[in-house]
Amino acid sequence: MELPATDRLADPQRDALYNYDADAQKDINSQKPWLRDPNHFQSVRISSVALIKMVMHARSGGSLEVMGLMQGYVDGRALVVTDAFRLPVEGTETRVNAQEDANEYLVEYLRLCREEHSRMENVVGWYHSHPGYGCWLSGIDVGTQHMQQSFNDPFVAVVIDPDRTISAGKVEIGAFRTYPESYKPDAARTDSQQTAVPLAKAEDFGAHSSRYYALEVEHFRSTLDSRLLELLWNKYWVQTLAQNPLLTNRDYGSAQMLDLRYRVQEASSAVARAGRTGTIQAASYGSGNLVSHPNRQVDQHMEKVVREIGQVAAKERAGLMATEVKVEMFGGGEGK
Amino acid sequence: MANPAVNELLSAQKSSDSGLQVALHPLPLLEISDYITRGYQRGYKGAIVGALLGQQNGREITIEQSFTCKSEKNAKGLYELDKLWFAARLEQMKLVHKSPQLELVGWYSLVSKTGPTPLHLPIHHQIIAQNESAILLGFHVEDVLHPVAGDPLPITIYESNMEADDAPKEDAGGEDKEMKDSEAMTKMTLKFRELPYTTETGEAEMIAMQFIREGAANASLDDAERRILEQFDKKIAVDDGKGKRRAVTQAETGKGKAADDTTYPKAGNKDKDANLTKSEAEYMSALQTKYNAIKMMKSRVDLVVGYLQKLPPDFVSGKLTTSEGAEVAHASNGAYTVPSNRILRQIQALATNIELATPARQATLEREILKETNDVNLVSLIAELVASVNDVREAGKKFAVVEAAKTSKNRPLDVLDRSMSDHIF
Repeated sequence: MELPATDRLADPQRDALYNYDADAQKDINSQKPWLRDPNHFQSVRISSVALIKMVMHARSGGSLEVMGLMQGYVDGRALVVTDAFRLPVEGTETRVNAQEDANEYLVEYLRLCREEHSRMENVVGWYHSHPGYGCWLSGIDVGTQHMQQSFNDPFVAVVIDPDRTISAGKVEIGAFRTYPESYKPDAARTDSQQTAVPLAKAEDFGAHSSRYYALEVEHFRSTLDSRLLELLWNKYWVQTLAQNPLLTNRDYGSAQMLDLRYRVQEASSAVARAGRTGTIQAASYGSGNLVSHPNRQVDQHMEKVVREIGQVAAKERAGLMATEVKVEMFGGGEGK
Repeated sequence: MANPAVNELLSAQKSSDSGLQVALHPLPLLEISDYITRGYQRGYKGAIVGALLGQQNGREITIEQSFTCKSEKNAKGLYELDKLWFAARLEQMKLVHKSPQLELVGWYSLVSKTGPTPLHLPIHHQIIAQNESAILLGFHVEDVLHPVAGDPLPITIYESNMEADDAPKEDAGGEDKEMKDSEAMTKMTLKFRELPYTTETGEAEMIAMQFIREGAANASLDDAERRILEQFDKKIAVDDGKGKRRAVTQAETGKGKAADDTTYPKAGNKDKDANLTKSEAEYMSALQTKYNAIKMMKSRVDLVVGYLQKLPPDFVSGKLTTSEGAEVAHASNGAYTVPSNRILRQIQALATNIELATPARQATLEREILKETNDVNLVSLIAELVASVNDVREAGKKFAVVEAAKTSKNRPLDVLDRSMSDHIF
C-alpha cells in the first residue's frame, strides 16, 4: 500500500511543481516581494486536479454562482495552484452567517489537511463562477479580492464561466489580482479583455475594470497524469463521435443572439449620434484638434459586435461539423 | 501451506454475477495520480489510501470524487484509518457535494496485480462498516511501469463478499486434517472479486480533461518567458503588451537554441499554427479530436472484421460446431481465431443495430440537416455582413479624413465657413 521504490513513476525534473518546500515558502512570505510591485504576479499555474475540480464545481452550480478556495504556493512571479476545494456557500451571498459557515469549514478543512501531512500548502486564492457572463471581477468581487490581498496575500482570484466552457468546448477561465487603492495602472494598457460581457452586466464590468489586472493562466500535469490521460482517451471516442453540440448549446446560442441584437441596436444608435459630430470634426481636422473620444466609443462598440458575432458563427460552424461528420460516416443511405 | 501464486483473498468464482454496475469517472484516477506524484516528490512514507465518493442507486454505483485519507499503522503493523479524522472529513465532503448528494462508495489504494492482500483488510473492514457494498479500487503500479498493449487502465475494481470458506487448501502437503465439526466448517471469510466497470464522464469533466491534455504543459520549473511563448496563441492576454512582445522576439531569436526539445515537443507545431486566429485554432483542434475518435472506431471495426475473417473455414461453412471449431483454432496456433457463440451473437446484434441506426425516413432527416446547415450559414453570413459594415465604416472615416485634409490644405480659411454652412443646412 506504500509507494514502491522506483523512480519511474514520477520525474523529479518534469514533476518538480508537485514538490513543496515549506521553508522556502516561509522565506518568501516574510520578504513579500509583491508589496513592492503591484504587478509582481504575472501568471497562475494550475494543476490538472485543481482545474477539473473547479470546472466541475462551477458546472454543478448551474446558474448559481459557486465558490471555493485554492491551495498552493509561490514560485517566482507565478502562483502555483495545486489543489482546490469547495466551500459550502454561494459566491455572492453577503449574509454574515454564510461567511461564518465558510470560515468554520475552512478552518476545519485546513486542520484535517495538516493532520494528514500529505498536503501542507497554504491557501493562495479563491475561485468562483460567473455562469454565462464571462470571466471578470464584479464590484463585490473586487472588494473581496482587495480585502484578501490586504490580509492574506499572496492571494489570487480565479473566475470560471461554466456555460461558455460547455458551449465553446474550451475552459473559460481567468485569474486576477487587484491593484492597491493608490496605484494608477499604466495608461498605455489597452483593453485586452477577450470575453465579451453581456449588456446586463456591462456597467458593473466597466466601473471596476481598471482596479485589477489579469494574470496568465497555465495548467500543468504530471508525467503519470499524461500516461493516464492517454489511456483514458481511448475510451471516449464513442462520446466524441456521438455528441451533438448544436443541440446541447441551443439555449446558450439563442441567448447570445439576443444579446447581440441589443448590442447592434446600441451600436447603430451610437453611430447615428456620432455621425453628425463626425462631419464637423473631420472638417476641422486641419487645425489638429481632432477630438476622437465619441468616435473611439463607437469603434469599440462595433469591434465588440463584430467579435461576438464572429465567435457565435464559429461555434455554430463547429457544431455543424459534428453533424456533417456523422452524416458522412453513418448516413448517406448506403448501409455498412 | 497455500500456493503463493494463488491469492487466497480472491474469490474462486470466476464471473461476478452480483449485478453491481460500476461507472468510473476520470477525476478520481487523476487524484490518485496526483497523490502518487506528490508522494514521490515530497518523500511521503505512508500508505496511499483514499476514499471514493459517488452515487449509489440500487445496483448502480458511480465513482465521481475522491479524497486522500489519513492512515496509520496499528499495533499489528497494518494500516488503519484514523476514525475521527475520517468521520470529520467525510462529513465535510458530504456537505459540499449536495447536488447530487454523494456518499461513500468505496476506497482506493495501491494493489498489486495479484489482488488485495491481508494488508488491505483492516481498512476494508472499516469502510464496509459504513457501506456494505463498498468497492476497492486497486491501482496497479506494475501496469504503469510495464504497460501491456491493449490494457486499458491500470486499475481493477474489486467487490467483496463473505463467502463460505469450505474449499480445502490445494497443497495440504498430504497432512492429515483434523475432522472439524459442522459448525466450524461454515467459516465465512471475506473474498474479493473483480468487477467490470465502464468509464463515464460529464460534459464539463470532458472539456476540462481535453484542456489539460493539450499542449506540452508539464510541471517543470522553467523560466516564465518560455512558458508564456508556449501558451501565447491560446490563453487570455496578459495586460502588459510590452512583456508579451518581448517574449515573442526572444523566442524567435532563441528558437535555434531551445535546448530542451523534449520539454517542448510541440514548439515546432505552434510556430506553424501561429497565424491562426483563436476560432480557427479551436476548429482545428475539434477536427483533430474527431479524427482521433474516427481512427479509434476504425481500429475497433477492423478488429471485429479481422476476427470474423480469421475464423476456421470449416466452422464458417457450418461443418464444425462451435466447440470443435474452437479446438481447431487452438490447434492452429494463432492462424485461426476461436469461435465463441457469445461473441458471434454480439456481432450479430451490432450489425442489426447498425441497420436500425440508418434512418427510416431519409427525406425528413435530410430536410432537418438542411435546415440546420442553413441556420449556421445564415449566422456566418450575418457575421460577415457586420464585419463588412464595420470595414465600410472604417473606409468612410479614412476617406472623410483624407477629404478634409485635402480641402483644408487648399483653402484653410474657408474651413470654418464650410463647417458652419454644413451645420446650418
